[in-house]
Amino acid sequence: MPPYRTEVNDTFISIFLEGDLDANSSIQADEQLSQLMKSGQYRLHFDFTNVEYISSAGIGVFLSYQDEISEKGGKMVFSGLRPRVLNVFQLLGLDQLLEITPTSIEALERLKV
Amino acid sequence: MFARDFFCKRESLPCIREFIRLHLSELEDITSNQIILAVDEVCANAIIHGRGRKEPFQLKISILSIHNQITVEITDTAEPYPIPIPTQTSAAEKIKMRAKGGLGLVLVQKIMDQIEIERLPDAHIIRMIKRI
Repeated sequence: MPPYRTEVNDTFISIFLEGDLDANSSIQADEQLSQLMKSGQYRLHFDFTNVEYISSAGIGVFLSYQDEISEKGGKMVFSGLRPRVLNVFQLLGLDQLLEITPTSIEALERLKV
Repeated sequence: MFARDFFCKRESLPCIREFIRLHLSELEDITSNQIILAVDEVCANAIIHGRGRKEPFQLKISILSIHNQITVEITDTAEPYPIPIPTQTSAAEKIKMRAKGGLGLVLVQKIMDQIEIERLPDAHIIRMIKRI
């Protein structure tokens, strides 16, 4: 599977996730996120518009970097979650812990310095 | 009741989800997705932690919808492996721990109304019930 499309902005990077993020496919998301972290990218926008499904393995990828990102003064913002995907975040109370916006425009506003 | 066998490997997960989805088409999207998620989490746990007596071992999944109650039974023939008890660790604590895992069975517990685990000499059976 090719890496997810990214868009580099002045102060942050947008990652356009696609398909299902399960125990199999989230390995790729983890590798890509790990590369971004190694290259010092700590301001990240995850566009979920084309994500159909997420399991705990997918969510675990983002959670595992959240603390490091906060520590480095960065930020993760998630946008465009379908109701069924948002519901999985809500079941875990993550809608209160992570920055989730309905649209990309709102996410980009939050990431502007 | 509908039942099907799947190879116990990560690549089977999309097929497993599709099998469950087909039999829950009358439910609203979020409820259907929650049940699919619970099945996916249990299967992923077996795939990641189970080791087959003969590789690759199989997962048998059956689904029964009757009287506003969905029952899903997942049987694997792996060697005995730990089925973790969901911890009380919150997602906030998981963030601090920088942990990638440990939330799957928490989700299962939040979604399903009843979960039964049977450990047989040559199989594990996990039975989950959701009342609609």
